[in-house]
Order: sequence, then C-alpha cells, then structure tokens
Amino acid sequence: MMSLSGPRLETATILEHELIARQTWRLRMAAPAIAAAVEPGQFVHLRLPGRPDHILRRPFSVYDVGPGWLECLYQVVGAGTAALSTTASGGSVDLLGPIGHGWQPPHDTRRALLVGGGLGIAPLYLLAQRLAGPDVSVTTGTLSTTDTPSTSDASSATLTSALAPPPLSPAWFSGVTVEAVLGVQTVAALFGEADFTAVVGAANLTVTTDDGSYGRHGLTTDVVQERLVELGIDYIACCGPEPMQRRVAELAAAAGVACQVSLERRMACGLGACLTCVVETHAGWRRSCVDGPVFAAPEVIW
Amino acid sequence: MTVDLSVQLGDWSWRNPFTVASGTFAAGRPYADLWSQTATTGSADSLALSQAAPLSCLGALTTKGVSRQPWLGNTGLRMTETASGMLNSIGLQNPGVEAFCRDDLPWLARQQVPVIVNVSGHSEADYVAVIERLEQEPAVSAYELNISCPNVDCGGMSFGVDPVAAGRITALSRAATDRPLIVKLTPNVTDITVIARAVEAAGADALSLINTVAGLAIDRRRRQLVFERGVAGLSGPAIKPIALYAVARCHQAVNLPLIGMGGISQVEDVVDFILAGATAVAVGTATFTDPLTVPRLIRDLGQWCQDQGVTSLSELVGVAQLP
Ligand SMILES: Cc1cc2nc3c(=O)[nH]c(=O)nc-3n(C[C@H](O)[C@H](O)[C@H](O)COP(=O)(O)OP(=O)(O)OC[C@H]3O[C@@H](n4cnc5c(N)ncnc54)[C@H](O)[C@@H]3O)c2cc1C
Ligand SMILES: Cc1cc2nc3c(=O)[nH]c(=O)nc-3n(C[C@H](O)[C@H](O)[C@H](O)COP(=O)(O)O)c2cc1C
Ligand code: FES
Repeated sequence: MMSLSGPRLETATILEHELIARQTWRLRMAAPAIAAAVEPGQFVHLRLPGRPDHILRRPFSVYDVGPGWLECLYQVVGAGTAALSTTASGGSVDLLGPIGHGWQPPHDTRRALLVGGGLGIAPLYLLAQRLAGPDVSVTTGTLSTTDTPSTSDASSATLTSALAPPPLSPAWFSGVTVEAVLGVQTVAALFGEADFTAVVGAANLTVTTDDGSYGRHGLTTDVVQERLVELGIDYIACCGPEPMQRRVAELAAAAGVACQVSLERRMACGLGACLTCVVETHAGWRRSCVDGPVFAAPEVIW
Repeated sequence: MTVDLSVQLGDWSWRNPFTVASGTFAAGRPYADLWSQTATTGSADSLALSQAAPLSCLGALTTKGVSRQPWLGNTGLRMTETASGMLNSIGLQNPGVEAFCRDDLPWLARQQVPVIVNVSGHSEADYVAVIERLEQEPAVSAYELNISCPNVDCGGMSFGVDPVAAGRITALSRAATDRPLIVKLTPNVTDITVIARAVEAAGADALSLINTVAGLAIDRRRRQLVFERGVAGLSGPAIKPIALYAVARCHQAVNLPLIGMGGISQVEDVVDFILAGATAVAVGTATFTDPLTVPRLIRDLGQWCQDQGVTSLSELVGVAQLP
C-alpha cells in the first residue's frame, strides 16, 4: 500500500513571521504540496532551521491554509521555539506533513462547539472554517488571497498541485452552527479572535481569560458546562491543556455529546515508527502522531 | 570508475553497508510510503529510490525488537531531547512474534530487502522461542540478539553486561538457527571486549555496536526524574565517539564483522565507523531528523568513494587502528 496522500517532505519558504500576542508567533510558509493536502486537525513536523544541535523536529498544528501556503501559530516555550522565532522571512524551513488523523465530526452534526485553551486554539480554526462551510464569505476570502507560492524549491509535480485549489472546497458540512470558546491566561496572550469571529460570528464566540483581563473571567470549561445545558450541541472538539481536555471530555460524556480531543505528546519520528508518542486508550497504546493526534474522547484513558 | 559499495559480513553479502537501527524504523512501513513518494515526485534528486520497492535500497532492514509475548513498553514520558541527542524510554513495546509474523512479515517479504529481526526477551527461553518461531519464516534472513537495551528491567541489558550470560544466550540461539546471528552489545560496561570475546566464542557471526548509552534527565521544576524508570537510553550524534571507541576496541579484540551505529548522520560519520573497524553501519536517530538520511548516505558514500578513489570499502575497514 503506497498511498500518495501520506506525509511528504517539503522545503518551505517563510513568507510572513510576526509576533501576534505575548510570546506567540504566526508563521506563514510557502509549502504548496503540504498545503494542498492538509485536513483540519493535522500537523506539520518542522525541522528547526540552523540548529543541527536540536536533532528533533517540532510538531505544530496547521492553523490556516491557502493556495500554496500554510500557517502555524506557535508559542515560545523552550529552546527550539525560541530559536525558531529568530528565523527571518525569506528563510526556509524543512517540513514533514501533513501528519495525523484530524477532526472527524459525526456526519449529522448540526451544532458544534469548539473549545481551545492557549495554543490549543490553533488546530480548531481550519475545523471552524470547514464546519461553517463555503457559504461563509470570509472562509472563501481566506482561501483566495493573492499570495503567490514560492516556486524556488518546488518540483514541477508539486507546483501543479499548488495551482489546484486546496481541498477545503468540498465542505463536509453546511449549515452547521459553530460556536467557539477560546481560553487564554490573560489578554496579552489572546490571538485569533478576529479570525474566529469572521467565521463563526461574534455571537457564537466566547473568549475567556483566567485573570479576567478580557472577555469572560474564568475557564473554558465553565462555558462548556453552560452550553451543554442550554443548547442542542451535538459535537465538541477540544484542544488545550490536558486537565481542561479531560474535564471537557467528562462534561461531554455526561451530556451524551460526541467529543474529540487533540492530544499533545512528545514526538521523535512523527511517522509512526518510534513509539515515543503513545496514548493509552481502551484499544491499547495508540501512536498520537499517526493514529491521532485527534482521538474520540471516550477512548482515551486519562 | 565504478564504485562497488557491496560488503561481506562473513558469508553474507549486502548490496551496500547500510541498515537501519532497530526500533527507529518499525518494520519499515512508515518510511516505505515516504521514500516511495520521493521516488515518484523526484523531489529529492539523484536518490536511487525505487517506487515499487523503496526499501530495496538498503543493505538490510533491521526490525524493532520482537519478543515472545506482546510487550506494553514503559508508562510515563518516553522521550526527551538532549544536546545533539535524545533519551528514550520506550521499553521494547511490541505486539509479539505471532503478530509480527502475521502483520509485518508478509509485507516485508515483498520489499526485496534482507530482513534482520531484532530479538528481545526476559529469559533465555524467550530468545530461543522467538528464533524457533521465526525459523519457520523464509522471509527472515538473520537475527540480531538485543542483550543491550537499558529500558527493560528483566532481561535486555542484564544479559549483555555479564560475559557468562551473554555467552550462554548466544550459544542457545546459535543452536536454534543456521542463519546469520548478530549480537548487539551495550557500551554500558567496563570492558566491552570481554563481552565481545564471550559472544564470539559462543558462535556469533557478527556484532552490532552499540545500543544506547544509559543516561538520566531531571525535571527541575518538579524536582524529580523525567523518566519513570529513571534511566533512559541516549542516542544520536552525542554518542558517536563512544560508539567509535567500542568499534575500534572490538575490531582489535575479535575476528567478527562489526555493524557500527551511534550518531551516524553524515557520510563522514559512515567513513569514520568503517575506518574504526565496522564492515557495515546502521542509522537510527538521524532518520527522525531527516527521514531520507539513509538514501542520502548511500548516494553520498558512492560519491565519497569516487572522489577518494576508493574502489572497494573493504580497503578501509579498520585502517585507523588503536595503538
Ligand atoms: C500534534 C501537536 C501539535 C502541536 N501544535 C502546536 C501549535 O500549533 N502551537 C504551539 O505553540 N505548540 C504546538 N505543539 C507543542 C509544540 O510542539 C511544543 O511547544 C514545541 O515542540 C516545544 O519545543 P521547544 O524546543 O521550544 O521546547 P523544549 O521543551 O525545549 O523541547 C524539548 C522537547 O520536548 C518536546 N516538547 C516540548 N513541549 C511539547 C509539547 N507541548 N508537545 C509535544 N512536544 C513537546 C519538543 O518537541 C522537544 O522534542 C503541538 C504539539 C503536538 C504534539
Ligand atoms: C526510539 C528508539 C528505539 C530503539 N529500540 C531498539 C530496539 O527495539 N532494539 C534494539 O536493539 N535497539 C533499539 N534502539 C537502539 C538503536 O537501535 C541504536 O542502537 C541506537 O539508537 C544508536 O544509534 P543512533 O544514534 O543512530 O540512533 C532504539 C533506539 C531508539 C532511539
Ligand atoms: S512520533 Fe514516532 S511513533 Fe509517533
């Protein structure tokens, strides 16, 4: 079985690299082959440029894609991300991707609740776009930006796919109401509000801060609890700190609502070979890189 | 000038000196897809990869450790990066020899590559049972006895630090097969040549040098050890000098072909291992950094030989001798 849809290697040129919130960077890269294949919830395994002493790649969710490019948002938490943040636009990074099983909402989803904590917000934006469907003008707007993909490193084979529209077009869903809850510690760490507002609408977006400096004072899980009581939510997608995911999973289970979580594990290979990234599930150890990172919440043994 | 990269491990010839380090390549499937795709898109020029059988570029493929029964592996965090290296505590997680024969071997048999099965166990009987089961499988070419893993409590490295135990397990395995028998040694001993000699005397055909180096990591914030078992195994460029030393010493001490490994990521590393006494080499951690490392090294070694006027790798083996 030689699938052509699996992860591939691509040398990507950095198109934009800017600080968007406290310690949080937006990294847009020209990577036509990977961008054309990304599904919501998948990630790329990025080799830190210019740092051969850091031998392992770093996994980052794909936040957004467009023709020929993809974007990751990342927070500086250690040596690798600190080094990455000093790489200038025009530089190149070596990507492996797209990797993993992304979000798979039930086909009859009518009202979805996306819950992101901190950088766990990142893998939810493509999902929001996909669920909200093509009739949301901003979604298509995002996809038809005028960025031209960098062609320097791409072979002609990958270029052809770069010119084709990204496969976000067949919306899996339409007419799904999407609500999002984005939680950050404090207002200085907030990002993505405008993006999500444009896709889900202001009325369907709640921002929470732990310190009350913006939006609603409190935790995302408080909001989830309320929403589960009030509305006919039939799908929850959650990514963030593990205690938060666990709590959301419990709330969803109690309410009988389908719930998926995206789990973070340390990863060496990112291809399913090394078994460093395993998650304990009711079906035994699963590799979070290729069997996940998105898992059905009831399967996970927390 | 044509460069012949083929090498002889005793009676066994390989098309080139490269294999993959056990546990870093699963049974090959995760990389077959990627290598095949590279062959199709031509995105990495001049790598001689076949689309239909991409793993056939290897001299041999070494599998993840296979045990008699399924092993769950270790709980808790399994990996951390270190300066130019990584520590792992996988604990030889594997589904057991029956699942291996059922799920991996039929596929491996079609990959046109000799298969070395890495064998692990908690007891002598475990090792022998795995070999006996695999003797029924024509797709298996050779065995590599892992008596050197620091990440399991019972068995593993405890056999490899004692010359008597290492000799016994080699002799029992030898009695169970006529296929090439490779024994993989640990650097975590005072004198590796003592173990190497014991294993040679017991009938091993080759040695793999080295398994990971025992190491520790500390979680400063929580003021405790990072890994539940405490000890973990260090691999990657950080261990190359340790591995080279083990190869040079064993080259001096025994008359067996050596498969060198530990931190190989560039063609210069491959040459160093051969000069120190290795006939073949294995690449592990570097494949995590760049999944195309091995195909690149095959290409680069051919180029290096051409540039240096080397017509056969055998002229280089062990040329740089310890005093
Ligand atoms: C599937 C997946 C998607 C992710 N998506 C994002 C994202 O979109 N944005 C973002 O900011 N972060 C994301 N992360 C976390 C990100 O990979 C880590 O923050 C990053 O690897 C830290 O690297 P460092 O060198 O700065 O930290 P260090 O602590 O110095 O790294 C040491 C080692 O630990 C690993 N590591 C450290 N923290 C994590 C972590 N939380 N998860 C996995 N490995 C870790 C590193 O990769 C490295 O191997 C994701 C992780 C996974 C598994
Ligand atoms: C994640 C990981 C898993 C490993 N699993 C095994 C194993 O199952 N059996 C074994 O004999 N060695 C195992 N090893 C050791 C390697 O085969 C090799 O000896 C070691 O990593 C040194 O080579 P390297 O620096 O090129 O990785 C493992 C190493 C790593 C990093
Ligand atoms: S990171 Fe290697 S198996 Fe998942």
